Amino acid sequence: MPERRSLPRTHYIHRISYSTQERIVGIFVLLALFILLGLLLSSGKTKNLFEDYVTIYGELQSVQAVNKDAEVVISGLPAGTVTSVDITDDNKVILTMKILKKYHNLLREDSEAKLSSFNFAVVQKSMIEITTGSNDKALLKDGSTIAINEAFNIKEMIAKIEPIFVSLEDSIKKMNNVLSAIDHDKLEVTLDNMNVLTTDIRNITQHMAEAKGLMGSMIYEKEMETNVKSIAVNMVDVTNNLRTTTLLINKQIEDMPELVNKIGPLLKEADKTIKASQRIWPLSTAIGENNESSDTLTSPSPAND
Amino acid sequence: MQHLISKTRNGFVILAISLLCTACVSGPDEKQPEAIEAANNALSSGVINYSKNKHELAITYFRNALRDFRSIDHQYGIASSCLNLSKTHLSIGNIEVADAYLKQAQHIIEQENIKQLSDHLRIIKSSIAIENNLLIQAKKILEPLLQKDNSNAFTLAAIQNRTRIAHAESSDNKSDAAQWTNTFEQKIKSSSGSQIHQARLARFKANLSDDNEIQNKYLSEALNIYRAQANRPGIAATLQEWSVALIKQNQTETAKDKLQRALYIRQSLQDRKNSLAILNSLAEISSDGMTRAWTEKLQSKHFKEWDEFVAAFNQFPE
Repeated sequence: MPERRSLPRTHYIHRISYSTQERIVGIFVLLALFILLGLLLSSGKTKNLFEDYVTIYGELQSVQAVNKDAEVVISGLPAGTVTSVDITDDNKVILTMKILKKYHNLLREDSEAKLSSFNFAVVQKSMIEITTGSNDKALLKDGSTIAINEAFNIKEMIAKIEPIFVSLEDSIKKMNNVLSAIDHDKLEVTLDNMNVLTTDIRNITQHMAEAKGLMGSMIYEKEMETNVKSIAVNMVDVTNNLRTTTLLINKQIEDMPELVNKIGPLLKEADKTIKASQRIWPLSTAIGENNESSDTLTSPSPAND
Repeated sequence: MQHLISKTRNGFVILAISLLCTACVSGPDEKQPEAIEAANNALSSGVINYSKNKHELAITYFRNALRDFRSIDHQYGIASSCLNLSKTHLSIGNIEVADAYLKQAQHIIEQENIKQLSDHLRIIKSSIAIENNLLIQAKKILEPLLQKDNSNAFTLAAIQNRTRIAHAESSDNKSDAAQWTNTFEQKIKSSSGSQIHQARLARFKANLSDDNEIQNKYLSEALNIYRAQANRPGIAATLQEWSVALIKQNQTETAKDKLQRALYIRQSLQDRKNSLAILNSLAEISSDGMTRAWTEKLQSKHFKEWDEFVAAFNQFPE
């Protein structure tokens, strides 16, 4: 019998028509395009791609660390960017700020702009902060100019620190006066006393370390430590037992009024039953009446005779 | 066989019916209001404690009963409570208080004409008169009771008190004491008196005799009966009477022992009057300085409360 050769199995792509192959490629390309578009739209840079902007100009005395693309914030909301930094002929710095139109209504005539600069540090980042204006004021028109308060600078900082240095100098002078007023002889005596005191404390500590005296025994003696620990452990047990007992007692006590209330009528019923039994012959012959409790007068026998 | 079973069954039925018919059931007592029942219960508890010689507790119960009866204006109950309080205070030697309660009871009994309590009132009244040594008055109080020819407990108690009076007057007229002692003995026999009455009779007989041996015999007999009954006032009274007889026989040491034993009993009974009487007797016969000093100390000190006396007495004799 001739040997049967098994044919290699072809990839499915070779078994489908050309047009189908084209369609599959198209689907993949479109899918990739959609993903790309989605990513573009969701990115921070392009998320406001289709938003309208208004242009507001800011006026500064010095450029400091403001640069292009610096963020513009209105009441903490990122509302736009600085698109250009220009210097006028009279050496003023004009910032062109593109602000999203949806935040335009926050900008009023009484809005204030401030340059927040971190130019001391490595970050080198600046930000324009604009406050929201009052509703009763008119809107800042597109293309209008707003004065920007400049950021904290070195000169101002020195001016603020200078009084602190002055008061520090005063304090040092006063300290000097106080120290000069101290009597050296008295200080010496005091130091001697301190020395004696320190020696005494050292002796006491040494005695304690050698487990001498009550405190020493309490702190350093092993046996005492063991005893105290054992007492503490026992105390914990005792306390736990006491707690349990107290809880049990409390529970019992809580039940007591109810129990007493139940027993009262029960005893009355029992009393009634006994009394009723005493009236039934022949039971009355077996259960005698308790005459002792019915006597309301003492015996006639003369008292104290 | 079946006929026999049927006959037996019929027999059982007839027996059951006849038993049911013979079973007599009486109706319940008329139910008293709860307030009266509670007050009566307090009175009963007081009586039980009195019979056990727990006088302070008895007084508490009687006071509660009196308060309860007063709150519902129950005159019979108030009178009963006052009589009981009077007798209990009399038992512990508080004669003034006993007299005060007796007067309250007497006022109600006379006003409300409560005849059931009049005999009881007379017995207590006569006892107080005897304690106050008002013997003629005591005789008059007892007369109505003695004229009755009853064999009840009141008549026996009246004769007992009358015999006490006769013995108290025996220094003048011993035959009268002998006659009343005899009457008392006859009454005990006719009304089947208790062991306590027998012991009291023995004490009366001992008092009548001048013979030491006879006295000792009767007193010993009385003491044995009282001890068997654990009757504290009886034991103390016998010991006191015996000490008197022993003093006459010049046996002061034995008399002192009896008096001290009697004093312990009177102290436990919280009987102030008799405690002081015993202390006086001890002071008269005591030859050793210690007992005399203690007796004088206990007598001279004005104890505000009985507890103070007990506290001081606990160390006596050293």
